[in-house]
Amino acid sequence: MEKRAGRIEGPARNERARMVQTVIFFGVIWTALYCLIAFGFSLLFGVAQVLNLTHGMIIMSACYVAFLLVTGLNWSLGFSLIGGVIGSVLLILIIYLGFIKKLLTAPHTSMLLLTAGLANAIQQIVILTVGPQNKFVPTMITGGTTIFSVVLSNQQILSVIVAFGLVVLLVLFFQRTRMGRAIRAVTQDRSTASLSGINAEEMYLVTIMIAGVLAGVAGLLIAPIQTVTPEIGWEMMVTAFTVTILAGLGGPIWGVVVAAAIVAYAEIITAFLIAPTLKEGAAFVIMILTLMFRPQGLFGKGRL
Amino acid sequence: MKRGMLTVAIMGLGVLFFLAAIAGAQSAPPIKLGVNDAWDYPGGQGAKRGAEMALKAINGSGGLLGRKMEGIFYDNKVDPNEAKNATERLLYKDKVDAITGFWRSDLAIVCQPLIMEAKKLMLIGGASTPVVTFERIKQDYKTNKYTFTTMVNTYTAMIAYQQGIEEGLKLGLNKIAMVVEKAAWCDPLFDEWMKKYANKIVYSTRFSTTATDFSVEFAQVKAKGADIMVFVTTGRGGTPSVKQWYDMKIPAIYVGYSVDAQDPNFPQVTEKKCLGVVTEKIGGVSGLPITPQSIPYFNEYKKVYGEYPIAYTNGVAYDMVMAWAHGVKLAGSVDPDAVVKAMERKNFNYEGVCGEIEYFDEIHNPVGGGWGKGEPWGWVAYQWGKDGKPVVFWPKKYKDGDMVIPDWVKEMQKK
Repeated sequence: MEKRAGRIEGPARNERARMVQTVIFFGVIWTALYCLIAFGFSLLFGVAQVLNLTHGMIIMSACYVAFLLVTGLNWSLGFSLIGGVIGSVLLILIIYLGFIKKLLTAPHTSMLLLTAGLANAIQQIVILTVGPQNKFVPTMITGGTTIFSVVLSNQQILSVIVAFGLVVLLVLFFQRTRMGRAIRAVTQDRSTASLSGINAEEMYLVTIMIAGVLAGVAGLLIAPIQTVTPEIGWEMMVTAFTVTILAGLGGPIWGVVVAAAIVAYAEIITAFLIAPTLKEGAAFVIMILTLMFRPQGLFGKGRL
Repeated sequence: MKRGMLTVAIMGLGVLFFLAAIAGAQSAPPIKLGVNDAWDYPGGQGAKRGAEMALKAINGSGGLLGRKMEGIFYDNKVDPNEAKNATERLLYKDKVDAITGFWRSDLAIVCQPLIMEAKKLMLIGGASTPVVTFERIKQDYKTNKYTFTTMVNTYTAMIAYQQGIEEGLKLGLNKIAMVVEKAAWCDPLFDEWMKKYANKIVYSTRFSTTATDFSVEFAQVKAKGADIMVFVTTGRGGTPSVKQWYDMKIPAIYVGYSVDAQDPNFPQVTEKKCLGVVTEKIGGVSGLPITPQSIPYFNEYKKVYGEYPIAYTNGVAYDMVMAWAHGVKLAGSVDPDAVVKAMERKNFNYEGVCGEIEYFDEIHNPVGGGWGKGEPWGWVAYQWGKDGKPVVFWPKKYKDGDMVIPDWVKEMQKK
């Protein structure tokens, strides 16, 4: 240890180094989690121009389906998680075919109001049927790993791997597969794509199902880290909205990753340097500033 | 013959009067109890269920003063304006005889003036703010005397909440980190502890009641070398904080107060990561035989709702309504002034689920059972034991084990 001006610097420097490492590593984890939350929402708007405010509730529903399968029907964890993803896909299909499809050509405000109402309805159904108490989804992978003196749970590390793996898969899907190219064509110009023989409605359905799978996976990876309550639906929705607005509508998938990183680190640094109570406000500040000064987002092609 | 007929006629008239009296009592209007609470939250739902259980118990034993009890329920959604609107509807449209509920302190504070102005009984089922009793009853007894509670205020409850800290200090730990939610009810608690343990606190922070990630706060706890982490929340941070404390291997015991940790299924919910966590609860709704009423209530609750009581609020709400009913019986009427006088009697002597109420003190907090005046009536401090069962270590009357440092925390502290 070195003494300068009567102060011992060694432990203080170590403490600062540990804090910086903590901020960096947890920033990566929350970037991954926010990516998972935002992907489905961003995809649906990018392709079908649908601002789906039920997205958060779809994430939540995956958690509740998995919980009910594990505790109510004693299914194994693996099958319960698959059940959770299937549940979220079914729910988004019902919402799309039963409600959203009828308003596809309506103004965005109509879609916002419709999906906001549906989101509230879904939340109330959950409260009335399952109750407001905390529920849980078992951890997929237990234990922890120490990286540079920061202890991370293996569940968190799994979330990072899955999130970035999904980025790669989505990029490959849209660039290298026939269906992915067809969806991109519909996104760019629906009528021309139809003339080329692409069934736009079918592409929308595929996109909806992919969004449902992404939402389900997001919910099931996040639930063991946090807690499952009816409130998480709206909280996830705010996160998805903020990240998507910052990334920009119709922008590249990696744009969502960058935006998620900005939001995650803004929150963690706010908590660390200013006050933990202001952490959640950081996302709102980012959303407001983006809408005021760069409404098209960082990488977007269109405006909201 | 004539005398005989006269006798029969008098007896017949007597029977007729008796029957008329019964019929009159049966047809008397019900006694109305307003229930004003937030049903979408565990604490609020607990208070609502406590009131429901009380109404069921009262009506099941013939009603109150021979009259049926009727509950009128409003969901205030934890919104002060909704709570005030609900209070006004209960007072002036539904014309209730008393109002219960108020799990949230901020709602109790805003609704109390309305109820006191109408001179009706306010039966608090969970709010612990000292404002409505400790301050307002003391400052203006004449106006606020209609307020009663079975939930001791924060200053008194603090005595229970700090038992984990005191036990930790006795075990030789001496660096405290305070991680306390930013909410009205715990402001006095935070301020008091910052003064009381000033020379031992190495880190302190407040967090939002909706926070569910504590990675930064816990990293700071670790970095500062704390060996006692005082974590206080009634929000949703209870369960994720325990999981993070375990996953991040924070080398500090987890004490304080968490509503989530009161859940009988907490070891299952946290996948046993909570073993060693300390919290406090109303003992009577935790499966502990605090009074002869406790276990039967515990089992009846399970029968009615399909689960054992989770949030403490159901017990305090139940006992509050039942204590009020006891006061009504002593007074012989629902007249608020008469009931207040009856409830202030030194020999009030009501045996509740959470404890015995020998009397209500000058700020209308209960006293009795294992808790003296100024002590947190009904509260026990316990630690989740290795076998997933709670081990009560305070108060002495209900103690069944000592608080310990979890093995993995000891290992981390050696490193």
